Amino acid sequence: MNFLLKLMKKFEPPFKEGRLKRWYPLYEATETFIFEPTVPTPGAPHVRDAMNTKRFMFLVVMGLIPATLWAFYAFGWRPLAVIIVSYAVGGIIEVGFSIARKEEISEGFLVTGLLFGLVMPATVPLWLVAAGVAFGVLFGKEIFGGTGRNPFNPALLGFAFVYLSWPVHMAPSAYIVPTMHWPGYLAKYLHSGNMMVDALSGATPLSMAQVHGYHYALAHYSLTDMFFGFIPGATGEVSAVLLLLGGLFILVTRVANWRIPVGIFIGVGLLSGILYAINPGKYYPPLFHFVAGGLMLGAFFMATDPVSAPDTQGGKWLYGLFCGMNIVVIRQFAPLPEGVMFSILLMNLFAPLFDEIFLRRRARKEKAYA
Amino acid sequence: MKHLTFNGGYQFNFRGAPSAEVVDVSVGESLRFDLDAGTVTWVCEVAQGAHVDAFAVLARAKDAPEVCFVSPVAGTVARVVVGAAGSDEGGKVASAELGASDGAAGFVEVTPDDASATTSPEGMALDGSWSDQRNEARAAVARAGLWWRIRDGFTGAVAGLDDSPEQVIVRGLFTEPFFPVEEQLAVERSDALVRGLEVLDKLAGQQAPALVVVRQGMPKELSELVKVKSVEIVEAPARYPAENPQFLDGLLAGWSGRGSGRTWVIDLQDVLRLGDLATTGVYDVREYVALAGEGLSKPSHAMVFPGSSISHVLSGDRAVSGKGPVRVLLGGMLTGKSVSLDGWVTPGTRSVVVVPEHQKRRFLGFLAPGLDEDSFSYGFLSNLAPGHARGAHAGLRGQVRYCISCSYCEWVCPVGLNPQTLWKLGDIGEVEEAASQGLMRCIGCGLCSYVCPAKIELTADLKRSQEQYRQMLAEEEAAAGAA
Repeated sequence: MNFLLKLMKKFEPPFKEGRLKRWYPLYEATETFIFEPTVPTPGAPHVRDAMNTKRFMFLVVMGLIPATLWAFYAFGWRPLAVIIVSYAVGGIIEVGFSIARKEEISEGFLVTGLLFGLVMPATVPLWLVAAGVAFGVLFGKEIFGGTGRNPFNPALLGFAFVYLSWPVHMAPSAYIVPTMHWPGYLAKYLHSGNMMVDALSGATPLSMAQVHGYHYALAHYSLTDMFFGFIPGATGEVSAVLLLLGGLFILVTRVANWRIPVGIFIGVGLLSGILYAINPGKYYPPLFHFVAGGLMLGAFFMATDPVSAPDTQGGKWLYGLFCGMNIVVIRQFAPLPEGVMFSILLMNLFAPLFDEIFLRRRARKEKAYA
Repeated sequence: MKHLTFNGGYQFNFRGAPSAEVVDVSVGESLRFDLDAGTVTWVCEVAQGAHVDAFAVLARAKDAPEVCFVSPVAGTVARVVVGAAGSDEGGKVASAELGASDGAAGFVEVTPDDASATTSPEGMALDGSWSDQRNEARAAVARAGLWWRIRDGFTGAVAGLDDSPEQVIVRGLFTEPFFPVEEQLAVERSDALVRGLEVLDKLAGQQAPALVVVRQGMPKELSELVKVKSVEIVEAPARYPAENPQFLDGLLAGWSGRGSGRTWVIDLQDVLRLGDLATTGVYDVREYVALAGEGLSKPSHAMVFPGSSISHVLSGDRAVSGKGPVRVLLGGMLTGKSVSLDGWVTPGTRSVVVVPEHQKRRFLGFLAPGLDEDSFSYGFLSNLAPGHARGAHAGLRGQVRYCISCSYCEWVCPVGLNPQTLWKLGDIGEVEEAASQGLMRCIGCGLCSYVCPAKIELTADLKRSQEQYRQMLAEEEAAAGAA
């Protein structure tokens, strides 16, 4: 691969000290993406852990791969176009801001771009994907200073923007019902123009449950269907089992902090269990909550975004618990079918508050040591 | 027997560990000693051209003239340079790294009489005779050039000659790669150890127990050997930074009960020296060090004269393997100091580590399965085989980014701090807030910097914040005094 590096180095001078100097972050990002950089440690400690942000973000993407592949099976090739647009538009904004700030391009967008694509319905217009991801990256992250300083999960903020601004494109008619027959829609490209011919659209189980009660939803889709992913929904959220696999992967590799998903599951299980015990006819059973919507995607991949979550470990517990309970509250009492994304966004806002509780606790403890 | 437990910490397993073989390194052509040794500032006692005997006083501590630094060999004082060599004024250059400075305050160079000497001179009588009285014993140890090896656990400075410590910590366990295993030394030289612990008991006074820190599941002999009154064995997990003096002080004295003069810290091999001194009147001046790291073809232990040039120590069989550029470290991989081959082995050095510099730019490195990577995360295939030693090099292994709040630093912090919060507070200048979060308890072990995926220099930055906070307190005090 030496020749490739030599070739790349030929293009470096104008970027480094020349007329393309302003575009240096782009060159730098490309070069270090393809060839691992060799920066010496500036001092003690003289050796460093092999983990870095590129690998870190790449592992999250790895965790999402099973669910992404399922999206292609269940909804055809359209989700790929959505993901490509999401990466391209978000990437341009990221690069633009890096150039303006004269900073290196950070890797956080590798995850945001994919996540945003996975929370969209398969038939969503591509211009809407572009608008959503642009809003999310711009107002969720860049105006606060870029990756590491973002108070919100950019993918979620983009989703909220699209969901509230163009509800018609996120309505039940936008969602495709996956087929049970091999090879799914693997060979198809389903968009709003041809989907009525080649496939069926349908409300998600949560929308059904909101309008007609959960028994109605369960009459259409069994819990097993939901668990394996044979339900309509956002492209990346439907297969609970594959998200569980990917989620366990990022927990085991320590890329995500286990306290957050565990906290969310406890929160959801606890509150939904209590409600179900009170009125099993009206409130959803806990298992339904776990597999019917975006809970797995949200708990493992959205809420665990370390930057927008609290820093303290105790804060992470509270964040997870409240997030989980809030999901149940929204699903059962708010005029929205799904509450995962909004719960997490809301908890992003509360993250500094949860931290504050534990920072004060620590300050009291440290006082005794001083 | 006590058991030491702590959360966090990290067990390193790098290739290049020293073999059990102990090599005798000859004295070399000259020995050089920095007058600014980091924790001590020495004032030179000898003139250029003078002849000195072994154990003759070369320098005295600036703050405590009774504390001597003695010549390890008989020889001629070849050079005395006071003040920074090459710079206008001495003493101005502050060391940015942990450990000793680069001879900024000058140095003394001694040329040994017999360059082929390989062992320390025997039978050289010291001035004054050994005494059982505490103060006389302290004076004798100070004169013999061993006192500066006793450190204050709280400040890290040389112990005060009029201290009344409440406990003495003897470090027998070292976990930083690559420090020598001192337990073995203790088993082999049990008589000297017993005698040394008796001397230590005398030096510290009656109320101070000696806590000998060793590895869990230590050699049986050790527990039977140590029958000295007021000695207690402390078993610690072999996780870095179990040997950090400030850390041990905090764990054994309690973080709330700390203060200067309360805890002494001494290394096990220095206790052996004390024992020899009391028995024979002399001791082996050579440092028991590890010569290790992947940059050496035959890593081993060695007996090295303090002040030897590194190029002499790493010559012959012990030479750098020559596969590309390397970094030579005095001390361990985490807290050591990078030196050139023209450097000198500082007295008290425990290891000379040679680490390869990072050179190879892997194609799509972040996609690599990672068969030879050491990582706190489990993001590499090599994590599936935890018993295998990994390669290490002096590269960042990534690029510097803003904190992504992954919490790895909090996970490994042995003191139980939250380094990422401290760092962020320091980054925006809120050092007071950081201090309320325990900033001043940071022991500078380097683990947070080690694990950081965003490659932030947490250890150095927190150290700077600590200094800022100290300065702030001093200014406030001065202002209060003026008002």
